[in-house]
Parts: sequence; C-alpha cells; structure tokens
Amino acid sequence: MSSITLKHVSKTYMSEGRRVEAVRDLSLDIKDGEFMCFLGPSGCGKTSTLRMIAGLEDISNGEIYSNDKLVNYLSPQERNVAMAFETYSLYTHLSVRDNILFPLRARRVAREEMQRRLATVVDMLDIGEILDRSPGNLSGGQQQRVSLGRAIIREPDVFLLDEPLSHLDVSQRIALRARIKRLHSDLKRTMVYVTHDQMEAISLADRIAVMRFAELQQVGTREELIDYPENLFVADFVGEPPMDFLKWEIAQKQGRMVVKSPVTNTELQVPESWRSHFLGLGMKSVILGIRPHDIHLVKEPGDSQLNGTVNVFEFLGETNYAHCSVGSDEVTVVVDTHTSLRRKEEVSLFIRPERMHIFDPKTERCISSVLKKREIS
Amino acid sequence: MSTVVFESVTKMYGQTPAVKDLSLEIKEAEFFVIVGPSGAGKTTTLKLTAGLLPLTSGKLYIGGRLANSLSPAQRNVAMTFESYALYPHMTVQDNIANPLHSPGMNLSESQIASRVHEIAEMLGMGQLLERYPRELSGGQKQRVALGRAMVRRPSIFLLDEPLSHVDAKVRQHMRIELNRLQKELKTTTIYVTHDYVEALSLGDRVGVLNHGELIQVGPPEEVYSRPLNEFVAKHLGQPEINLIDVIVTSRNGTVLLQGAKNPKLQFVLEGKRAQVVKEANCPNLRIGIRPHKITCAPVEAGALIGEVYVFEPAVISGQLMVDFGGYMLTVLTKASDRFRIGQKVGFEVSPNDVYLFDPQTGKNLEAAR
Repeated sequence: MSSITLKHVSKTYMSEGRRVEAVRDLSLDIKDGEFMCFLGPSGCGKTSTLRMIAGLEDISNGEIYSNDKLVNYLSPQERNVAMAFETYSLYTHLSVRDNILFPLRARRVAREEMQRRLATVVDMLDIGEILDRSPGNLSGGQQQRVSLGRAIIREPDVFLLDEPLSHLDVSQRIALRARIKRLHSDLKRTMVYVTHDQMEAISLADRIAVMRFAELQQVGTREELIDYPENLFVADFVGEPPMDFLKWEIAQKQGRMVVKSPVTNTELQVPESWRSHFLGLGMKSVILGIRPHDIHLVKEPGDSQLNGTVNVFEFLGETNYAHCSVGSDEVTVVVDTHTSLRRKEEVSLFIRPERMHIFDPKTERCISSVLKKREIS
Repeated sequence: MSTVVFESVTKMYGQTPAVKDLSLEIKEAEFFVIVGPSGAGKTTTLKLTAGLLPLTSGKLYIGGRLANSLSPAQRNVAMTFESYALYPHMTVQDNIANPLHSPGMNLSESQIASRVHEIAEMLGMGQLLERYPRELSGGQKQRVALGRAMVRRPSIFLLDEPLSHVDAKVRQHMRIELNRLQKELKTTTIYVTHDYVEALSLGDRVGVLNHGELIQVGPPEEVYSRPLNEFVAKHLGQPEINLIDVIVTSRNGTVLLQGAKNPKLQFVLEGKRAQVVKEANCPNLRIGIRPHKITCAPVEAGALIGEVYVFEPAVISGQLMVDFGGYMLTVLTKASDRFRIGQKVGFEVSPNDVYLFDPQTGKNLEAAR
C-alpha cells in the first residue's frame, strides 16, 4: 500500500543542444489506493511524470516520496511498482502462462505461491482459455490483458499504466476499460494511469490531473473538472461533445448583469450573486462557455432565452446532437433519442444561469468557477 | 443526373470475392454512407465506382450511363483517400489547383486562382494556402484533400475514411463541416467508414456491408432501430447491444422467453409478436437489448435484480455493467446516477425494446425483407 507525493518536480533534458522542459514544477499528492489519471495532449509531460515515478527517468529537480519516504534515488526494482505500457512488450517465444509467471521466476518465488497467484490473476482477467497460447496469436485486447496479468502477479504497491488502451479497437477498449476499473476495486492498490483520452479519464479515475505544456493545469474529480474548470484549456479538453464557446460581452442592463452577443441582441442573465464581482473586475469582453448537455432544447420557437436554427442534426443512436446557430454564433446541443430535428428548423434554447461558465479572454481563467466554489464553501 | 446504380456487381480477387452481387441505387444529391468492418469490401466498392478497378461481373451506371468501361476521367468522379495522398513538394494552393491543370480542363490562370480561393474559403483554409503539407495537422491535410476533390466540381464525391486519422475533437468538427458542405453543394456523395457514429450522423441513407455483402440499406434511424440481423444490431451502437440466449415456451396466445442461464430473466410476448415467434418455430432465440433501453429501478417491486460489476461515469450518461446471474449486461444510466461495485440494482426492460434474433441465422424475426 502506497501514497505518492510529488514536490516541485521538474524534468529537463537536452535535445539538439537546447534545453527542453518536459515537466515544470509539478506538486501533487496521490493518496493510498487512489486511481489517479494524468490527462493531456501528446507532449504535455504526462508520460515523463509517470516514468519519473517509476524510476525509469532521473528527476531534474524536486522530490518524489512514497509513503513519506524519499524515492528519488531508488531503482525501479526498489520502488515496488509495476508498469503496463501502450505496447504490450510480451515475450513472443513464451506462452501466455510463462509470460505472466516471468517476473516471479526472476524473483525465485516458491512454486505453490506462483500457482496461487496465477490462479487469482487468471480469474481476474478471464484468461484461463489462452494460457497455453503464444502472444502472437492473440488479439490486442487479449495481449493487453496478459500484460496486465504480468504486472498484477508481482503484487506491487503501485500500478503505473501508460495508455494501455490506445491501440485497441472501440469494443475491446470499452471492455478492457471496465475490467481495469474493476481490478482497481478488487486490488485496492494505488493506480497511476496516463491517457490523452478524456473519456477514459472520466470513466476510470478518482481524480484527474490535467496537464498541458509541461504544467499541471488542474487536479480534481470528474465533477470538479466538468462543473468547475479552472481555465479555458481544461474546459475545452474535458467533456464530449466539447463545451460551446461564445465571444460575448458582459454589461449592466437595468440594474442587472447580462452577457450578450456583441453583434446581435441575444443575451443571457448572469446570476445576481455574481454581479458585484464582475462589476469590480470592470471587464467588457468575456468568453461564455456552455456545456452542450446543459442546454435544454424545445422544438417550438417562441418566448425563449435564445432562439436557434438547426444547421446540422446528427442522429447518433444512443443520443443526438443538434448544431444550432444562435444569432451570429453556433452552439452544439445534446438532445435525447426521441427528438428528431430537421435542418433549418427553428428551436428554443434554455440555459440555467448558474450553468454558465464565464472566462477572462486575456488570462483564460474561469471566473465563474471561482465564484461557484466560493458559494459552496 | 448524378446517380450511381450498381446492378449485380461482383468483384473477385482471384478466387476471393471482395464484393458479392451488389445491387444498389444511389440517388441524385444523396449522402450515402457505406459502413462495415475492415475487409468488408467498402474501399473496393469505391474503387469500382471511381474506375480504379475493373468489375468482374455486373453493371455500373453513373448518371444513367453504363460506366463499366469508362476511364476514371470520363466518370467525372473525385475520390479522396484515407492517407490524404497530397503532393509533399507543393503548397496547399498548388495541391488544390493541381486537378485543374489537367488537359481537358482548359481554364485560365485567373479562373484557376478564383476557384482555389472559393474552395479555400468554403473549407476555412484561406490562411493556409502558402503552407506545405508537412506544416499541416491531420485535420488540415484532410481538408486540403477534400478541397482538391471539390475544385473540379465533379458530379460525384467518393470519400474513403476521411476522418479516421484525425483526433476525436477534430473528427467531430469535420463531421459537422462535411454534413453542411454536402447539403450546400448537393453533390452526390458515397462515403466509406468503419465508424457507425459517422455513418448514422452523416448519411441520408446507410448501407451496411459485411464480407462483401450488402446486408441492409436505409435511413440511419431505420437501420439503427430496425436492424435486419444480429450483425447490424451489433455493429451500430456503442456500447454494443446486449445479446442473451433464451428458451422459448408457448402458452396459449402468448410466448414466454426465459434466460437459458438464468430463468429469472424473462419476457412475455403477446399478439403479433408471439405469433412471429411461433411461426419461426425455434426452441431457442437470441434476444437483443440496447444498453440505453434498460432502465434502473428500485430493487423491490419485482424488477430484475443484478449486482454491479463495475460502474463508469461519463458526462452525458454513465455506463453500468451488471452481473445478472450468469449474464453481464451493459446499461447506460442517467448522468447523475452513481453506483458502487457489488451494490444490488433493479432494472426494467420493456418487452417492446427486445429484438428477436434467430440464433442460427442471426436474422431479426420481425424484420420483413
């Protein structure tokens, strides 16, 4: 059992004579037994962070602790972590059974103990039928299960998983994702998981650390990232379909605060409790963010907050998307499977004011998230 | 007249059929999507239409004219490829303009320039014209490839997996763009993909292809909600449809379906549906239930009861896997619902949302051909 603490961790390396910062001043507490995802686009530093935790990369600056013990100078073996990678790195000349048992043979674990552990792993991963096969004859999903088995059988304190699902087709990905989530619950071990796929992070993690350009942007639960994004990048990167963004203005109007389109007369009222704060800021331009599932669509046009016209309607089976123009802007709306819309159809759109997100276009910080969090606490 | 008609078209690669006896009419200005797994014959169908491959047998009509022996140029079709196939040494502008320089186009330099700009504007690439392909993202490259296809003003677009190499966010954006563009240009389009989401969202009609055979053709809503067989039901929809083997018992006018592994899972069919099952005369059936058609219910009140294997939250709807005495069922839940592993959960399914498949042939008993 293990917690992991990163204190001001940085990673720099030299590339073609230039200093490149892969991770900058990262501080984060990963709790004992927690499922933590590092999420971000490629090159954001998430894999470098994982490799530093594993001991596969030197730490340029800062400290990493496991259970309050400094591990900066421990070898990967001394850290008692197990890794699974994007590529499965199985031994093709060994059977599935021998691949899984390999780490135990290397450690000279007793025979009965090996068999006991193998039985548990086989049960957890449902691989009993492929034990005698060679990895070369397995599907990607099966190979990744074997690779997970090889990590699990070592009974490490911490699992480090680097994009384990990224090479699988959709069906296999969804099936293995569920299995990994269940494994975490069964094993009750700390898991650190790296992905560029926000859906994976949302479905798996207890908390998600979003990274960009070597820096931690925000760390929080899925609800925190969705409802209280700290900045424009997090708001845009997390959530599907992505948040709608409108370049609007904020203004006083008859004693109320509204956000309005600079081009048309479309406007939305800002919650009263936010007013004094925005007055104090004295800003004009804002970016208004609305999650597509926070917009309620009614088929009849009429007395609504926003009048929209359907540009593109997408039937997706389990859910539908309507892409509507509102004045000179365009928003995506999630509608239920029973609602079917035609192109050019006029609709009414409703948004609860407290579901709006208001960003400062200069700093890209989300001002409304700060206000909402303040109201809760 | 930009229709495409396939009449019993077959394409053999040696002894292996890639496309088998394909008959299909694609209408003027239609956005037709061919969807299927890899190796289904999708790209072969496109290449046959483009004239890049000869037919083994059958007839192909383009714009009402027999096209079997027409050269690619004579067909006035434009095709884009999954791999973009841009010229690396040419700028975006020159790549797009390239087809206009071919003999027979007879356009002046100023005409060419104005067409290229028109297309670039339409695709939102005005600022990229001077760049080289290596300086572009995947989404931008695909846009250039589309531009190069559009600039000739062909009567038919053939698009081969145009969105498969771009990331999720760009893909969604391009999907909307393509939808809008096609509706504006009204150019007959045949679009090939393995992604059912693209098929459902883009197609006026969708054709499902498997092992070279066209299994079902229809509007997206119809193909999704009335699949002709198990394959179509499984291929369209994510998470996949739940398939459960059941035992059939007839009682007077009704039919009882009971889970082969768990008899507590049961549905009673009445009237016409019961009749259909009786006529099929199968002792066993495989039923299909879409994950979003299963509703979570209180554990009491006689609902079906299972145990949570795992729960995965998401933004629009959560995904629950329930162990129901031998069956692992996938359920899409409301976004606000939360479940713990091991928790008992009740659920309900309306018998109307249950598909009935013949376990031998996979055919949907209720889909009249």
